[in-house]
Amino acid sequence: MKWQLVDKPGKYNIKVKVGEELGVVVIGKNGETNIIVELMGKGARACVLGVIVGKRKDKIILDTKTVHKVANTHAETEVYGVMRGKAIAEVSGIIKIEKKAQRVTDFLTEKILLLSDEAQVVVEPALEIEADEVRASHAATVAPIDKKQTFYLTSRGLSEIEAEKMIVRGFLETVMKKIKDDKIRKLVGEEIYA
Amino acid sequence: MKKFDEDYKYGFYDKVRPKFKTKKGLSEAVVRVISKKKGEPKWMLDYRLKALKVFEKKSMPRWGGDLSKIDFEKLTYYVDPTEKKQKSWQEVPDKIKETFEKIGVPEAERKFLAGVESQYDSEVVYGSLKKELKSLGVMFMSMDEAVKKQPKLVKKYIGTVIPVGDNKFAALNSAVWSGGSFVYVPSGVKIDKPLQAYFRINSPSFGQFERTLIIVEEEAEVHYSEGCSAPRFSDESLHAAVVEIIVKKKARVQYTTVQNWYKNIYNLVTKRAWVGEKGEMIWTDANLGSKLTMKYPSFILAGKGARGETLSVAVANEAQHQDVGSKVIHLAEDTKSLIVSKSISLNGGRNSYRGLVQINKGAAGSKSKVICDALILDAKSRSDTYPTNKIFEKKVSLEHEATVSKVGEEQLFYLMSRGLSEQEAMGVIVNGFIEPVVKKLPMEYAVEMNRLIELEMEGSVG
Amino acid sequence: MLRIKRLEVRVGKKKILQGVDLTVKKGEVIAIMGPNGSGKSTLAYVLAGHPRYKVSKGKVSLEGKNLLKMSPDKRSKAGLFMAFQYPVTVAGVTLSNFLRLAYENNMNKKIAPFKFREILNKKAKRLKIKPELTERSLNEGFSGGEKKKAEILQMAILTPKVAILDETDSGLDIDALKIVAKGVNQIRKENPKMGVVVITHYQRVLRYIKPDKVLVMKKGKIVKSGGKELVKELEKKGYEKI
Repeated sequence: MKWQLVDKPGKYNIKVKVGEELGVVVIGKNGETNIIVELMGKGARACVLGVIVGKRKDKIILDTKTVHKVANTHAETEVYGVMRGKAIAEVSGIIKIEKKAQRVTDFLTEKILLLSDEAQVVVEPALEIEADEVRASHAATVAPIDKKQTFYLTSRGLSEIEAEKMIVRGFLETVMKKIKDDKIRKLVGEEIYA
Repeated sequence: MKKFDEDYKYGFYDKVRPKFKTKKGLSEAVVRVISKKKGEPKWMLDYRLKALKVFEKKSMPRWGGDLSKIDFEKLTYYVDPTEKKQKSWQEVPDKIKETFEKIGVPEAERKFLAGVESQYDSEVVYGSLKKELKSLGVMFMSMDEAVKKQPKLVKKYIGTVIPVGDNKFAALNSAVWSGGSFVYVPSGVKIDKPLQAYFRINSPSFGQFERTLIIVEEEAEVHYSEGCSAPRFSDESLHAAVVEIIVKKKARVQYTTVQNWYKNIYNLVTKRAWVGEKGEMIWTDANLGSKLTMKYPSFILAGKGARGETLSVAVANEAQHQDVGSKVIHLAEDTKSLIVSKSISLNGGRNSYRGLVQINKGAAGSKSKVICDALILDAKSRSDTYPTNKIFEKKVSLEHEATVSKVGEEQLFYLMSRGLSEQEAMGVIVNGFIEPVVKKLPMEYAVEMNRLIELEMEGSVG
Repeated sequence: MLRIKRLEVRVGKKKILQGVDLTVKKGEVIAIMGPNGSGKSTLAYVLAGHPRYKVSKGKVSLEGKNLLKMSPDKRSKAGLFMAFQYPVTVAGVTLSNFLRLAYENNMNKKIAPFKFREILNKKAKRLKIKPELTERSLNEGFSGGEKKKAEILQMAILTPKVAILDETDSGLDIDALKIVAKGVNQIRKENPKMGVVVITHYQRVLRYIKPDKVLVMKKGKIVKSGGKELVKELEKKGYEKI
């Protein structure tokens, strides 16, 4: 699989060709980032992994779109975000499967951890499906840190801050470990764990 | 040569009666005539006129289904109910008659549902219920009557849950509404049998612009239901209803609508409930018919611990578009919402789920769960999901899932290996798919609905 | 009664069954044993008519009727029953409702729901199946043992001419296995002409459902056939040495 990193806001139109496998890693930053991935040929596969770390007065807009134009294509998108301070995020994603795109699978996951009282998020996962032999689903969750997890870690001697840090790291690792390109993963790690 | 216009066409089979209806198109004059014909007090006329101004200014929604073919100038906005033109049984489309037969609609109801009779002769069934309700202090009458008999209550609550300016069609309804129900349940009264819309006596049901207002006082309970799964025909192609419900502290309300309008109808409905502390509101909604339905039963969870649930089933067959969903706004702490939407698209039909979950700052401890499952039965059909989730508060939990798929090959094979034909197996699986919603419907609806689904499957299996 | 002649089956380009010959006589119990990948379950699926398998050669007939030309439901009505190894879940459909419809189709007569439920409950009791299970969504949340018992319950209701048990014993503890075997034997007693094909990995189930003939399958073919002694031989030597 080939990997590509998007770390600046802007509009990105990516076409995945016949038999091509592409991974796109996006760091959601202050500003608007629009990513459109079009699966153009049979056997095309795309994996979009988004990470958002919102802080202070960030306003982050991340919009992803995967479009299946032909049959036998596959995609999956996972966006994980952690929100602090007064950050606001708008995470939208759409899976579009056109009429001819039969035997397609696509899954979209958007998960946000709210860590501060002032942070806000709007999550809009969408589907437009015009073929029947497909499997498509999306899921979105928004929640604060699970108190049970914090309790467990602090009961083992970690301070609350240390516990929170560890939980957040574990949360983001779920998507980080899917980045199979070491260089990109390192770059992203440096940015988000700074 | 006899003038063969609309007035005489049906009269040929029936007594010719003098009919009253307003000219085509909407204007202040038309609104005044409507109010005068009803003998309404001035405050209601003023309400209508204000709404008309809002309607004229407001633009059409830029999302949802295709509303481009609606020509407001060509519609008739009022037909005197008691003189509504009588259709003859012969003119009812054969397919409708067949469906009645197949899903087992009782003979007595068929003519009413087909629009051949304007009133359901429900005295026998309704008579004793009416007495019981009266003794409990429950008010159940047409909205037209309520404006005259309960002006204080109507004035207090109308437009409080859905303001005139909410959207273009709510404004339209506020200007030209006619018919619809008014229900008032006093504190602590729990009505155990569902109140059916067509039990309202002395006024025809299923008008174009019905306005319904339901007020349920503290700790009271009621289940109101309307419609039926048998296909219904209407000459008026635009239906824009408004339903407002006030659920007070610890009260419990369920509102069931089963709609199967014929394929020429635009069905645009605004329904919303205001829910107070520890109150509970359940919308059970089945959308089976119409050319286009745009309907998003909503809740404002205003009081601490308020709960809202929308359970909906939508079937979009050939040339149909169901653009439906739900909206919930969590304003208070510890509020809970659950939205379950099941849709089936076949023969080129299109289902779109449109939803909004908003959790405002201060609504700590709130939980929301949305489950949207869509079945697409063939390559011609379409399914969309457009949910929006706005979270402005940290201590909440939001979960949203949606899946789109076709009927599982393994499941079909399994059932067929037990002797069910492919069509029967489809019917069983699809009915199983919508079961979580259907089981919350009153029994008669559930049975009809299952049979209707089996009928629809007949058309889908090649 | 059930005749399989030179059956060849492909999935895509791969040949899974390389020419299988098999006959099941009235009242006979045949055991088919073999290692993983031998094609045992494929044979079962093909007999039941699963759309994913293509028969490239051969014939299958049940009482003279050509089974391969029939859709799965017609095969059921012709008297074939398969107890699945992994029964699927069908949400929102109760075992009782679906089985009544299957019964009506197979028997070609209508039965009142309450009457059917009486018959169903009686047979469920014999299989030690909790009555609530029949009113739950088909196979949803059923334990492994409950799923297998439910398959046998369906068999008891539909009284087929030939029953194929696809690894019905897998995943069952000894008590559940005994109940399932007892259930099968009970159905055989009440329908002595019924033929049974027991597909299994292990010989355990064959202690309770005693086979008249034992066949061993390997790489899509029947490589050995014999009587009950063959079971003991397999137990000692394993599939490799046969």
